[in-house]
Amino acid sequence: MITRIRLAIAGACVSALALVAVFAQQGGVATNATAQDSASQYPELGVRAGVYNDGQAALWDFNITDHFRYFGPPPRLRGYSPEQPIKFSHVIHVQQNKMECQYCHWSVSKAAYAAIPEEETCMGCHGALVQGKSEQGKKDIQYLKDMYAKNQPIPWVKVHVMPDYLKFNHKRHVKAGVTCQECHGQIPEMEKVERVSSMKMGWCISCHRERGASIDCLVCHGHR
Amino acid sequence: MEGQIVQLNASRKSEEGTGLVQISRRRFLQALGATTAVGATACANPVEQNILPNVKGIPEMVPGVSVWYSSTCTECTTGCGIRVRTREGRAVKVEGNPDSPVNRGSLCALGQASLQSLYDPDRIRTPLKKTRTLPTGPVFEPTTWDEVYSKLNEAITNSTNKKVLLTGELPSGQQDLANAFTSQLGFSQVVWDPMQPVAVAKAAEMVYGTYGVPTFQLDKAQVVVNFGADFLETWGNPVGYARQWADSRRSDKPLRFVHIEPRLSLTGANADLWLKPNLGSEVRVALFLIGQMIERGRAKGVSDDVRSKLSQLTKGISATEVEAQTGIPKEKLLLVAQYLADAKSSLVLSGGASTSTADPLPLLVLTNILNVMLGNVGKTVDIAAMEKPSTSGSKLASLIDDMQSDKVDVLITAGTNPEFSFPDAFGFQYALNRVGIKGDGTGKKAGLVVALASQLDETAQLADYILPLHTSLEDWGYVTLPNGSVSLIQPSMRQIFDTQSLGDVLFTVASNTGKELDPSQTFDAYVKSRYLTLTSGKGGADSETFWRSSLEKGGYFVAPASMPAATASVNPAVFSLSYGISVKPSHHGELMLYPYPSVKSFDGRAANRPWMQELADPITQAVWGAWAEIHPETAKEQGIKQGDAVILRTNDGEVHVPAYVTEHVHKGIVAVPVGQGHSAYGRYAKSTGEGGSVFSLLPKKIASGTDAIVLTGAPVTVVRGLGSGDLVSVQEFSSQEGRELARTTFITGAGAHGHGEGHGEGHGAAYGGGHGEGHHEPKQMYTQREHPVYEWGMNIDLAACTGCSACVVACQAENNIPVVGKKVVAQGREMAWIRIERYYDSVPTEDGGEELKVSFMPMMCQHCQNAPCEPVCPVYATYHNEEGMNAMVYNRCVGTRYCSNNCSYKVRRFNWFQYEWPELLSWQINPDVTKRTVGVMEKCTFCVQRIAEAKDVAKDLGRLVEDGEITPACVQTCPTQAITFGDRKDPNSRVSKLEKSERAYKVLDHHLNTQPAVSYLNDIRYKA
Repeated sequence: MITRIRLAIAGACVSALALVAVFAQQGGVATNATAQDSASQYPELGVRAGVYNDGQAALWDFNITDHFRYFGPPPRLRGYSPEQPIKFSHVIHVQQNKMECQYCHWSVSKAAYAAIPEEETCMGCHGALVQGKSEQGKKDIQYLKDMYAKNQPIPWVKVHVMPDYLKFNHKRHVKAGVTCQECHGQIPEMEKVERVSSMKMGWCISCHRERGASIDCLVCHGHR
Repeated sequence: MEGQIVQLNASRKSEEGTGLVQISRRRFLQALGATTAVGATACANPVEQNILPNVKGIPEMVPGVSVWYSSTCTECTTGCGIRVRTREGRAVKVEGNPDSPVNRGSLCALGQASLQSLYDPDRIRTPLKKTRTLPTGPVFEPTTWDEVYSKLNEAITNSTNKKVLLTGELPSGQQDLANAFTSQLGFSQVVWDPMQPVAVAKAAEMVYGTYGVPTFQLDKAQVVVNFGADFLETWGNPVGYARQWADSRRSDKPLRFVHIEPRLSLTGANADLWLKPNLGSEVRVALFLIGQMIERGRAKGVSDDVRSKLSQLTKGISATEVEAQTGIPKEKLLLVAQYLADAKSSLVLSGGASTSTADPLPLLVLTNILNVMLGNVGKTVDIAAMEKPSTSGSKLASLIDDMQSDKVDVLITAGTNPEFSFPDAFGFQYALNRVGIKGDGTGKKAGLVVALASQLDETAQLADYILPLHTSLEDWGYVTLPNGSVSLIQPSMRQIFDTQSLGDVLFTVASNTGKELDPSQTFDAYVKSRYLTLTSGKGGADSETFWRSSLEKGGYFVAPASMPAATASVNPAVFSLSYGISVKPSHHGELMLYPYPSVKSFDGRAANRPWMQELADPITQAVWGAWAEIHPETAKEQGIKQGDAVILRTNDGEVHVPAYVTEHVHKGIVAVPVGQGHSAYGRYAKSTGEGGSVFSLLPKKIASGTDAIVLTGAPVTVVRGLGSGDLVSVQEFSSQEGRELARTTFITGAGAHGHGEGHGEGHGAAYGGGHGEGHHEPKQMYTQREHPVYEWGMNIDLAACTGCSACVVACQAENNIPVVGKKVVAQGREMAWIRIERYYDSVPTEDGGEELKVSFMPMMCQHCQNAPCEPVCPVYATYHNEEGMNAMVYNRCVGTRYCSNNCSYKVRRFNWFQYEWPELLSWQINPDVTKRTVGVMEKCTFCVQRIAEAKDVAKDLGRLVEDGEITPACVQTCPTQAITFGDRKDPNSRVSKLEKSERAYKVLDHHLNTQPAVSYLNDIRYKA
């Protein structure tokens, strides 16, 4: 009975909102990126170094959590493990093939955001070499290729949803020596990524206290 | 070429053609209601969020890290360098480019708001075709580029009459291409930009021999006498001139500034002495000054022959006579003459609204002659580096005549809006509707009007077809600067809609008719090749490397060299002018119209930008829409009270505006800002449009001897309208009530040469008593805070602050501050975190009289150590943090508003409603700053996100943040660098040093012991 109610409610739930129209630069050279770098990396681009591939994603999204002010942000519970568009297995990639976390999630040590890898990264292996063993794997890799060909990003479902008023900086935590597993759990052992920490304020603060990090409110609320 | 749309969820709808994803908030809330009704706990995840990766990696983009693009601002023709901050492909902030010699990193309010031109929700998104015209306005429907191009091609090919390209002052790149276009396709070009000082350029030609507006070096002058040029607001290069002005004003030898204008402008408010002449009588003051200079032996700059002619001209002009003619007391006139005569270097300026009369040349010529006489040319007046406007009111007037007499077949408009900004009396609209009607009497329309525009403004609405253009932030181009620099324009973001660059449109139209404008074929290639030609030999052998580094830097910049020595001789033809009073009221007591451009609206180009509409005008403190500044005597005669609706009526039209009764306007004039009263252009412009535009009041007249229109001096009657005029101003008082909020150090001593001593004496004598330094340390009730690492603080130099309000817009842009609209502001619920307070004080002069002293004071959260807001917060949402800031935690706030009630500075803002930007404007949201929701208090955070960014970088480098690494948005954009930010704990930081300077004080601290982290420096004024 409870299950049925839940299903009904789930049907009524609003589905994804973090949808962003996306634009790539038409041209131009950025001031804080060295031209030499991009020139040597992308010699064929020539003058119009900024003529990028289409499909740049904006990482911030609508302030959806704002609307939940009086109801609390969306329940962020341990065990949340949504279905993903691709049944991506960290077990195969990390545990069996010994890939480093930062091979794909390369921006964790460079920026506040831990980016989901570009499809280009996936295509590095799956483009020509790895075509999958299981039925599901083959299907997913084909889906990846299709999306890549269509120049569309894969709509991954966010597992670690944080409210907008929290500005978490991955770079600072990685540089301070916090391992990925401390917050995200044993991802290498997960067939499907699941949230293992509550990621509530008390949980954050206990660690900040333990390590002597600042517990000033503005460290997390107010900026990234 | 369309914007890439990413569509993920099948349930979402997107409008492919417009490139926009429409989110129905209403539908969302309905669905939300459904889920919450059954209980939030039951639903495991009411909101499933997606996270979208890039499809392909982008070398310079790290998610979450800003990428900056150098470009050039094209809002006015000055050519300030800008840097556009983009995040994940979207432009989110525009800032000044520190490498540009024009603006040296600063930017005005309009430049800051250029982002809202890119994200204008009313932008034209596809090519449009006019289907019919209803009484409510024209009806357009989408069409294709090809259709418009073929129609245009047909019209050009079949044309037997004139073909005209009507533009604004285009950036040099577009203009160079337009020259090729007009010559090859047999078009003629007419340029119209109402902000161009064409009469000033003409007067320069008459005296110096070259048509153009000279550049000026205010910081080299000891005395500046200014006839109406609003160089701190909209005239010339306001950002650059403001910096020069401020650098001098806060130095050991500040320049003395006399402003002569019938209305108190922002520039006049910053003067040591503001003189209020009768409109049009300034020419007599100039003549008087010339006579005085000859008399005092300061006419060495001109030849004996010219001097004798000048003495003929000024013979018999006495101070008493000039007093009678101008209304300026003769003591003041003699004082100004003495200032000028005593100064080793000086500068006489003229321009602006008060010189836009029917006969502007005599005054403008005389001020140039004054500069020649005083030897200022080559010292403070640079006639080698001239800005040469191509605007011509007379050419536009004759174009209108041509159109009326059916002599024009094809009209292409681009980047100009004469239907709004050219006097209606000329009949532009009627004439334009006749374009292409052949004189064969059939009335059949054969020609075509095509508007190239980004916004559907009044002129675009008249066109048969509209082609949407890129805004300047999406386009290529370059601007050549008077000193030989070339500032590049490059796209900082991919185009949003189905738009094209003006240059590419010209290329296509030309190639359709079989003409090749340039071998480069596309506009971006054209810009590159032209740029490399213009800077040939400057970049060395490797042009590719030079081009790339130029794009990074923003162009090729020549360092401001010392001004070339120049001599100027006075053209004898100028003596044929008549130097009588140029504007005479037609009969006794009739008022004259005085329209002026304000920092808020310019000529109307900023009207559809909500930031600019909600910006409080620094003088009247009014928001949203226009007003009429009326002298109390006029108001009394007509029974008009502050805020009443009034009707201004001239021979040519009438305008309904609210009255702003002020004694700081000459009693013979009615001053109205231009730029409001749009009937098209977009939702924000139209929301203030009912009253009508000031341009409809102007006469059909070209100023004699020039190409300028007549802006001021039209006889106008003012009558009370019905009821209240809906004047909303955010500061309705002007007195400091003896609270010494904005303080001033007065420099005494008569002549400009007496600076040294005078300045020394003046310091410390703070206006209203010497509280600043003298007050003893009070006993503290609470234990004082400790700040282990940093203690952030700010310093604001009132001697440098001009009140230009660039900081206000920069703050709105940086901190996602909502715009709430006129009604909500009227309830006192405006949201700006920083405001410019304006105070009028009456101060004694040296000769025992009284003079007006206007003070501008930027006011934001003072981050008090003993903050009154903190102890009253029941939920600890606001507290003092370990870095000396008064922190505000939005998610803790429950909205009691106790803090706001208790704040002594009235700087806390409450979100009474959920303010949302309409789609597209929402794209300007800064992702680093939390958007606040209804029921939450907010206020200045010292741009905590920028502090965090600087700390983050410093931590990576293993050191502490160094002085000057953090620039909050207001500090960054301030044209005069009046605001300084830094660590108060570090005794060597600039802010600590300034805080200890003898001019420093803290607002209300001596009354309340709030111990703000923001200190102010006294304003510096000469005692008149």
